[in-house]
Amino acid sequence: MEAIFTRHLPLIGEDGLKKLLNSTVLVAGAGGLGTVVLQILVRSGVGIIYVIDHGIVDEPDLNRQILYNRTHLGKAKVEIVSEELRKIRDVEIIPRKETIDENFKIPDEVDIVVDCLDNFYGKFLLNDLCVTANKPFVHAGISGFYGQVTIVIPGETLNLKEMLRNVPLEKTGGLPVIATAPFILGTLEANEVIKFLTGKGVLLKNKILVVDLLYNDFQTVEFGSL
Amino acid sequence: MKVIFKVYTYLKAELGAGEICLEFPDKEVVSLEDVLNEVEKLTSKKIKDKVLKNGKIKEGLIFVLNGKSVIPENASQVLLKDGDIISILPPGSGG
Repeated sequence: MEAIFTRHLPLIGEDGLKKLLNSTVLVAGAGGLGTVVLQILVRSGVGIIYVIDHGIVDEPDLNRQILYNRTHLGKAKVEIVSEELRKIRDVEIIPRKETIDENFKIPDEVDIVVDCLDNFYGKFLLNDLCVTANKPFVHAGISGFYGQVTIVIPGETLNLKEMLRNVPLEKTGGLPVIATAPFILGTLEANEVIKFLTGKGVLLKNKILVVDLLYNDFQTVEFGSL
Repeated sequence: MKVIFKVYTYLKAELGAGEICLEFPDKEVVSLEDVLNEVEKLTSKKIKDKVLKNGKIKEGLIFVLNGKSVIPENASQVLLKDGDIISILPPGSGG
């Protein structure tokens, strides 16, 4: 066993670590949320990670996208992510520089998908693809000092568009955001993935955890089950 | 009858309270507009025009009534009864 796991092994056990090492996670978006999620999943022991992002590192990204620095400006995010994550441990990263559209195919071996995209058009589309492929889907969205997180499990929970009706389906991001929002919401997303893969704790099924960092407020909004 | 009214994030900041218990002593059902009018009366804060437009939920806001997301176009037909909980949240879209 790699020494990097010794501090959390007592919490998840050999069995939990084995589940993480044998798991495959797809992270859609390598921006504010994605770079936090990716780091945590790699450090926790996830075996294979697909990273999907079509973008390049831009200077405004550096206030919050934790894997990048000035030497990365102008380079493809998925390539930098692969390099940086492999400095943490030997992990299989599968970088795909592409946009998620209607024709995107979620690889069969993926156990769970993490939504780190920056617009509701993409988030809803990815959730639809996960429902079709019968894959669990962890969602987070951020704006300013706040955000929300939930998990969608086909056949067990409501879909994202059933919970979040009435959001603008724009295709581009660029909202103002403070660095702490993706750090905390990304951490909560990664935590949901770890709980799902190891079978630990309670998932946010049919619940949206709303986080307001200006007012130190963490509250869940409950939805009815299917 | 009593209705619980909840708001989150910037709406909570604007209202100065996240949860308000509203009482309607002589009624068995109330509309969403009744609820918002009562909130304005109790808080002296304008909220109705920030969340509804022509009887429809403003884009970008989610109304959750007893665990179900309200269809925006149906907002003016929604009726609340004793014990109902209505929540309004503005989800973030960024990543």
